[in-house]
Amino acid sequence: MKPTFIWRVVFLVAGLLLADRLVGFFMHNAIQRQRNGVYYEFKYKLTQAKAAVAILGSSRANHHYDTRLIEQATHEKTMNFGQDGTSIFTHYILLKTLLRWHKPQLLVLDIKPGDFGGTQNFNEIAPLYPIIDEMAIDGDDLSMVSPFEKIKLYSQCYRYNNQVLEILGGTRGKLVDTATITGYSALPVKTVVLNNLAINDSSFNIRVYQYFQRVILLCRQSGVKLIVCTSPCYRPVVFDRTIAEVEAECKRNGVGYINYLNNKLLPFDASMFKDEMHLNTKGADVFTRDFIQRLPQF
Amino acid sequence: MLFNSVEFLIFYPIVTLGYFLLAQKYRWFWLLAASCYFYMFFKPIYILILGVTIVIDYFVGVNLLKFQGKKRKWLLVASIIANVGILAVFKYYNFFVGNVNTLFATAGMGARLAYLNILLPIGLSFHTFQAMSYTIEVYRGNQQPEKHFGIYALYVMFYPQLVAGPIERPQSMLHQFTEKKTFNQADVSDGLKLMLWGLFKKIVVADRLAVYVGSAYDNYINQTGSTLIVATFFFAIQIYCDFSGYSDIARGAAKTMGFDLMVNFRRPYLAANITDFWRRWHISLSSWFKDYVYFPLGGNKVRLMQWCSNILIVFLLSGIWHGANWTFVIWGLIHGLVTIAHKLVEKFDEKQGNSMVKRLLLVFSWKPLAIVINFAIVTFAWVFFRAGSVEQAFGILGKMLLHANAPVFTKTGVWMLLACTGVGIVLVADMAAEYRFKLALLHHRNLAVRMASVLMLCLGILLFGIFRNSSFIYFQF
Repeated sequence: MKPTFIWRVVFLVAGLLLADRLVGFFMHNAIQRQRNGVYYEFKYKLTQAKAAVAILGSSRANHHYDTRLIEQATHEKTMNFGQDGTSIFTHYILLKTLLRWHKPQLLVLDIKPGDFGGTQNFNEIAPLYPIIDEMAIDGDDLSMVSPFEKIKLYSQCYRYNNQVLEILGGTRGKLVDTATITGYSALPVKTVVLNNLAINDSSFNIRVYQYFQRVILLCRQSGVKLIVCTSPCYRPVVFDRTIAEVEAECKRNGVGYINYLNNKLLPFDASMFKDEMHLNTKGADVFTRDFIQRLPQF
Repeated sequence: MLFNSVEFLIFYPIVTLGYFLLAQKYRWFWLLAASCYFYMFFKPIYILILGVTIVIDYFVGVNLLKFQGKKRKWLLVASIIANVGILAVFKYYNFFVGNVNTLFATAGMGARLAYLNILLPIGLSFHTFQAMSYTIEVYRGNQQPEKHFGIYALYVMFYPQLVAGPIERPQSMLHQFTEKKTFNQADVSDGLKLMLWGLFKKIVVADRLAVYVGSAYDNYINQTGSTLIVATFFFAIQIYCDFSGYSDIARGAAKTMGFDLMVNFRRPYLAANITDFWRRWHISLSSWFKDYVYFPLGGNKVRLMQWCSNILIVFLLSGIWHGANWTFVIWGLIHGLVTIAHKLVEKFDEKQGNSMVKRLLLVFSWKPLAIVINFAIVTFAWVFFRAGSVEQAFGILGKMLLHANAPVFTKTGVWMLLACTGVGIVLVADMAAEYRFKLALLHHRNLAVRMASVLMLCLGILLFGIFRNSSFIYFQF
């Protein structure tokens, strides 16, 4: 091996490390200079909104709970923290981070069938990577992330994987009026054919479930009132282990639980759904109004 | 083990460094052990199937030298039956049973054959074909049988090309395992660049497009025709980037150790006709079929009808080789029919003087137009390749024809921008290589340009790659 070759390899590796740090530094600064976009809203909701009512959950929380309607009914500031493709692991981290800044009076946690099933991936916190330094993640939480994911996180660039353009876009344009930020996002499109295959899911992952128990504990320790809700789903549910466990856990801990599955509380027809798991604007409106009516019971 | 996994990022340098550090006489063992580990990462038990075919073909190869006449022929037949038999059981048995049961049901008969509860061993079609090429070449006298069992096993199991090719020939591969390879900077540098480019095509382009294609095809009933047209175009690029990306990584990984694997793709979408396309797409498979099926059937040295049926047989076999589903048969049939049509037009073209038809053919032979038409035909056929069933494929085609004026579903603007940029980079790179523009940045004369290109590719992968450890499409075959 010629020395020049070794020097070239060393130079290349050093260049790669330097470029990685430089891009990471540049993107970190861009995150601090957000004027609009996902991360601006995210940081605002977590650190400045000081909402009395917080809604946590996956895409179903994001698209089902019309915060404006809740605000009108309760006269309390409401913020929707629902995030696409996330599960209880991310919700727990978001709650911990939120509590660093502000204590909401009421927390609504949306749980869907199969949420505590066997195939949860803890790497799903990836959307939080760009602001990971500001999130309340401790070693115990990080131990859930796969070892290889942790290796990838040594790269400063990887934190911004697939978020670069959104972050750069967020540094330009008009500064968003924070009064318009609610976190709720409506789904106007309607799917033509809906699958009504019944759900019969007995899968269960205790490691995921433990994070649900941690949410309950954290709320109790922080004095936050918790209500767990399973919003409507087009598919009928014959049996779902997640829902059965949630119902039992809520009962044990005196936590309010509202279950809209199988049209038990209110009839939802196909015209109210965007797809099998998500309500459209019309459905979200009907659901939120009914949900508000039920809140005083708790 | 997947090439796009972190496990491979650890496996690859250890194996490569170990290879150069070991003495020549131990290297075959090191590579064979590494290849076994690589394969067993998917499902350990299936290495036994591979072992069985290796043992059979090794003994057939050695004994082919000892016997003469009919006995030799029977040995070859035994080897082919063993290889094809294993492929038939694991890949085609349930397909066969499904069709027989449908026939029984249609005829009103209550009888039903039982399905086998088995998974297809990964890359079975690839190593079976590679093993068969060995026994056939030994039988033909083009290759001396390999007496060293370990070297022969390595020929079948060499990890870079074990699960998705290129399907190598013994003449070009076996001798490489016994040659003394020394650390060659140029080989290492070229190999690493090839791997990086392959990884970029897979992680940044193919896996991104896969998200759109998957959501459109898996829920095609709820998609508009124009969305399905865009999805099919994206699939054409996805499968190219996925498979050629795999081949590049495989060739690159072998190249760093000094091994030369055959080029499997040569800018196929810049082919001006279907025959040219098959000289550029999955070259190792098309040449396999040409050498071991098409020529033995008589090739083009037979009567016209026989020639056409030879072409059709090859493409139908190629279709069914890809998967046990009628969609693949139809895919092969389309390629076969279009190839026959092209060959006939070529023949007709030679006989014409300055007729009207000749002038019309001249218009269609204008290269840019011919490339676009050929790409459209190939992309049309991909619908059958990607669809889960024949019914779905026709449903998708129906929607494309009848609802093409409805709006296209775009994920987000940013997503679409990234997808189209990825597609653009790959097409520009291919065009630059095809027409010899001075755009080969990874091989530029200036060291700074080369280094900067490598850095940009690395950063591109880190910033825009889809890190889901998604498998390669051709692993299922």
